[in-house]
Amino acid sequence: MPVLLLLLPACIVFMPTMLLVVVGMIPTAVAYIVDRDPEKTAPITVGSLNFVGVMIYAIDLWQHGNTMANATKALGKPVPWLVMYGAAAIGWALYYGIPPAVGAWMAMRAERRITKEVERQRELREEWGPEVAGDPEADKEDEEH
Amino acid sequence: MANAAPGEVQYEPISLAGKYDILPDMPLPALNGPGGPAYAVRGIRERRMELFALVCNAGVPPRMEILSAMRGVEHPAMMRLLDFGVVDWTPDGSRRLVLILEKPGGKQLMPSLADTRDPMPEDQLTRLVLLPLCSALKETSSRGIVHGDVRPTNLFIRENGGNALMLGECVSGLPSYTQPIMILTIERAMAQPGGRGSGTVADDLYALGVTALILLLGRNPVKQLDDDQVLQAKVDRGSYPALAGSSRVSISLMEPLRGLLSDDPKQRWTLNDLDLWLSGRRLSPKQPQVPRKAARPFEFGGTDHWHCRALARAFARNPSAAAPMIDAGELDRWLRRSLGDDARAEVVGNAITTAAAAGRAGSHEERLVGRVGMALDPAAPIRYKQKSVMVDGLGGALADAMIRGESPQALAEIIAAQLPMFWVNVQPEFRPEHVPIVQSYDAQRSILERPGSGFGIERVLYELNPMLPCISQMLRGQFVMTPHDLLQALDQVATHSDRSREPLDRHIAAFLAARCRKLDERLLGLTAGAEPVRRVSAILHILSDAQRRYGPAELPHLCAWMVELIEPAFERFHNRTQRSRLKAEAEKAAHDGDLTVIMRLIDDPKAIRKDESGFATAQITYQKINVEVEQLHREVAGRAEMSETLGRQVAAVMSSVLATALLVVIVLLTLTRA
Repeated sequence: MPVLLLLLPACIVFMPTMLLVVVGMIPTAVAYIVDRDPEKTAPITVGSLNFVGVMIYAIDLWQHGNTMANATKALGKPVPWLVMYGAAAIGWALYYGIPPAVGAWMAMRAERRITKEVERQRELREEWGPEVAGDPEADKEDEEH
Repeated sequence: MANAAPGEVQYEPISLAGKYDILPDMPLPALNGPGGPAYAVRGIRERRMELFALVCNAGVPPRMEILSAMRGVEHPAMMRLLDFGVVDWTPDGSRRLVLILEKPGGKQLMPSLADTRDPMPEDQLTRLVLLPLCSALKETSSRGIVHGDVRPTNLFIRENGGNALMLGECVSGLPSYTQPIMILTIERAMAQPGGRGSGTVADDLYALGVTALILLLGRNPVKQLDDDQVLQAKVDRGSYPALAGSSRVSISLMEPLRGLLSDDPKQRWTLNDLDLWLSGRRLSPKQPQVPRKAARPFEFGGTDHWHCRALARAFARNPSAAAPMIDAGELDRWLRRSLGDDARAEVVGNAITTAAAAGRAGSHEERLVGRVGMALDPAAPIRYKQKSVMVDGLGGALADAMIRGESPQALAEIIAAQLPMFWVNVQPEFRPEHVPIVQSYDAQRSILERPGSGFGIERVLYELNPMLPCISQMLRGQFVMTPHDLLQALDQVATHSDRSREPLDRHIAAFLAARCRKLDERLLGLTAGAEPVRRVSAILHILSDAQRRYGPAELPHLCAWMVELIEPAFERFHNRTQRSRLKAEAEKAAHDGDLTVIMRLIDDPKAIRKDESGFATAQITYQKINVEVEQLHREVAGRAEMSETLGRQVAAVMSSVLATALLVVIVLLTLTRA
């Protein structure tokens, strides 16, 4: 209750900024809702950039007067929408673009390590004979080759 | 090869130590000895006397133990042994022992015992035969040598046309190997040729007595009898009556002849007695000793036997018939009631009791009859399974049998059944020389019972014949007397394409064990039956030990042979680099001919341990890599899921970092503008 009593005046004072943030951060809210991952990485990814896009106009609002008129004026233009929602879109692009890149990188790293380890095994067989692998059948095949 | 006549192969003279040239193209059949044929010899330095060579053909083992001593004997009545040695005998490409002997100028006194010659007058016999031969026997006796081959056919006329005689050689074969039965004492006549033992000077004196009698009569007095009949006559009547019979012998000669032909070695004339007689002292002639005769005969095999000795002989010939009679107590009753010899009956009783207890070798009846035979006739040879050997003749008999390819089984059973020990026990009096006999045969029995390579009957053969060359089939054509010779011979064998797989067989192992006292006997056990690597390693150990102790320093062919065999030993090393290095080093060592270096290469415990631990580590590493690779493969397979989770986290982080950076830039720009 004391918190509400403090927030209520704050909301009345920052109503124009609140309006801008609430409208501008809608993509983040959507991301939060659609992301089933408990870690909620989608709202974080989208929200971070979305927040930057909103903050550009929030700062502008604070510089030119934190009034409802200025807030509605900003929301009445297409560019702020484009910047705020474009930033969110970049966030979504990262959210969908980075995992395949990471996957490819991981696979490449694993393949490289496999090649290196197999090479090490070949060296061991050369140095200690096929019996180092502990498989007599494989030993015979190796000897034949 | 010398200039060969058409169709005839001629050989170059064969040199012995650069001192004598043996002429293989000039055989001298009249001088052939028991050990081999005779050939003419040209002395390079020794030109004063005529020489000939006896080339031992490995049929009968020569008396290696007395060769050095005989070389020192210089007596006018003895054929001199000037030298001996081993040569490459080109006619058959083998290595042979050659004896260089003084060649008599005249013929044999009697080419054969079947021949007849003019009876030798008494004074001539004394002057030309008894006097010089007594002196010659004194000479040999003083050097501890028993001649063993005194007989008329081994007497030669020294100079052509002269009268002086010389006694022929006695070294090319076993003692008394070719001695006719009539010339041998009863005991040694009962033994087989190879098993007569070395004998004593008393045996030489007996032979001298028979020789004198034959020369005196000018003929063999028992020519009409075969060997068995001669022996039986000696057993039944005593030697002098059996041989001299009704022949006329003067009183003066009767004295030495009776003395020399006495069947009791204690009664027999000694060299001193003969010397005294030759110097003119006259004694009353000895009466022949009549063996104890039973009141009633013991009937066996359809014959009546009155004496123990004859009965013992008959038993030995038919043990299967004798054993039941002995077991039924008939012999005991005859000994006590008819012969009245309770003491002998007790000894026979002891023989019966101990026959059952002494070992499991052979059949009970053979052991029983063998022991009873010794109890009945203690001076006789050991008789067992138709073998008959003097107690000191077992080694010779064994060598003779094995050289001729006969089975040594019966002789081995004699040792296993402890018959020599029983022989010592039944002797009427204990003599100091019996102690080493007992000790030796006890040791041989334990050797015989050990089955592995380096033991058994082959080892007994070389233990009982300390100077016998190695008779391994692998060394055919070689003459191997020492471990040094053996290694050299094996180096030679290694060059043959048809060599056996390994350079060690039972004979070689036994020979080395007997001649190298410091050899580790545990290694011998591994040379047969063990897994190949351990076997080859053991063989290499033995041979390298012998090379280190006895030489020669370089054995390149044998080393190359061993390097081939130790291939599996290299396989023990897992590390391929180590293997290649070892093989290269082994080949280098083989080239240098040093077995010890090769042995050290494969028998380096530190290197083996290091290799084992390195291999174990490599195996663990290999398995770890397997696990890791599997893990990586799993990662690759589960890439989609992993990349989704991780990628989103990365995207979140990147987005956050980017947003923070942008925010800072915006704030800074705003502040700057303001």
